[in-house]
Amino acid sequence: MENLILECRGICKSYGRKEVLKDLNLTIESGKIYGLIGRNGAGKTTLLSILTAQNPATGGEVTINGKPVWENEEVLKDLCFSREIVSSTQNGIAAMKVKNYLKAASVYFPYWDQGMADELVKEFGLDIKKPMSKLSKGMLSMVTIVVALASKAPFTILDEPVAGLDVFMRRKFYQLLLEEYSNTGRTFIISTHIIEEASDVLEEVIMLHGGKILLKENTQELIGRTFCVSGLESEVDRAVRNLKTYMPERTGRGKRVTVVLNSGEKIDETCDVTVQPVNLSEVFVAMCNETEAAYEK
Amino acid sequence: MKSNVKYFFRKSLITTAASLCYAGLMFLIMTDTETTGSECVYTCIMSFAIMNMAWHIAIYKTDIPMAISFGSTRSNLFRGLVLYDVLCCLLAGISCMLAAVILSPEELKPDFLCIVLMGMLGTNVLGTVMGIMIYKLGKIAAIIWIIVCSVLIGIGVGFVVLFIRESIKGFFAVSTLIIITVVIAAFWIAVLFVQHRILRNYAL
Repeated sequence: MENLILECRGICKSYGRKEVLKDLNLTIESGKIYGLIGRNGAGKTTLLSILTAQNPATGGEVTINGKPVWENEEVLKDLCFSREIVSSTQNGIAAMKVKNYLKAASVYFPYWDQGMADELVKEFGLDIKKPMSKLSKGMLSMVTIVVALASKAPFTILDEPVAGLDVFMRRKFYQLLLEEYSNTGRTFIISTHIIEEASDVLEEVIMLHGGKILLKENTQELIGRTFCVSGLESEVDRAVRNLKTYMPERTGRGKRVTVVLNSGEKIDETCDVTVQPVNLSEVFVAMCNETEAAYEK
Repeated sequence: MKSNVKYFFRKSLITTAASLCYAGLMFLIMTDTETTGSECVYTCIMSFAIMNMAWHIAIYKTDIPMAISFGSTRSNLFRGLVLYDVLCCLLAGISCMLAAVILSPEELKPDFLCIVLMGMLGTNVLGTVMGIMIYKLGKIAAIIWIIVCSVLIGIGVGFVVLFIRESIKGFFAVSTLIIITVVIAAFWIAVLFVQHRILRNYAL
């Protein structure tokens, strides 16, 4: 697959007076699975819709290999944004049958793989003659997954693909995603709230908070340098002195903090503290709390 | 562009086929009363107008958001919509002429062609405005617009035809109709500019 780089520079987006994205810079290299995580209202869907020219940015530019994405057919054919379908609000699409929706997708996506679409429909047990309005939330998620995978677009973006899926179907989705990734090397960007399950498949994580990128880093490296330190408050304070700490919690004489180590830093292991690894969702919560506390100050 | 051409060409065929069925139904109702062949054809024009407006609602609610979500550029979408309007106009016009040939060949005069063309252009203008209104004002406003316009078209076409045929004869009838047609075409072009501007900023 061709080496493509999706870049956004100085992206701003406002809805009226409300600024949703603020001077955002991001580079997405091809051949990776990215996770985009953020709180509700952080601007994830807005960012993804701007990356794929479905929403005009108030400022800034999105390019693929230097070519602007907005209104550029040559570049848009390399992008697929399979967003969450909410049938109650999208009246027109809700009235369509699944087969007609997939047929329309096949018209617009130049690399569409009909064979794969048929296989996925069968695998998910979708009734293609049913109108979208009659599908459950989980089945609508399956439709978005079919479109995303069968589009064969080099950059494929999925917004909340596992919303409404049961644990069995979520595992199936991750399995299909990894299979497709290893077969084609396509780039996937997945926005999700179910962080822990997805962290095993996400190569890089992008955290979005308050309209800005908090961090973009290799998932395993981030988890590898983040720890939970707990013990007596005095010992904990000694162990983590001069280190960046997040979410301090006090329980009686005890204290617990989350620490993200930078290069060359380490926790003082001579102190009587317990150091435990943390998972990705704990890292995210800690960093968001810190950012909100900073905003309040 | 190819995908939009394919998609909207197919849609224009579906629209015309649906309009013909609807017009045919109206004609069957009309033939129970004492109506002339040309009056039946004017009923067809009104039927096309209603169907055209209804399809424009569907386009703005379904096809445009879906096409953009599937990666279509707005410029290509706009060209697809223009293709749709032109094809509907032509196919509907040909259908009305065929209907006239079959039902009342004695009515086939130069001004009749202008009336059909005017009717088709007018219905496309209304259909396009319809789509813009649904985008701006919502479904209820669009439904009210359909009802008002279908009544106005029914009355308006009848009055215009009556006025032109009874008051102005011969050369002046044809030239007046040509002027009216040109005015409607200019209005349609202006509406297309507005449509393009709205599409340009269409956000999902």
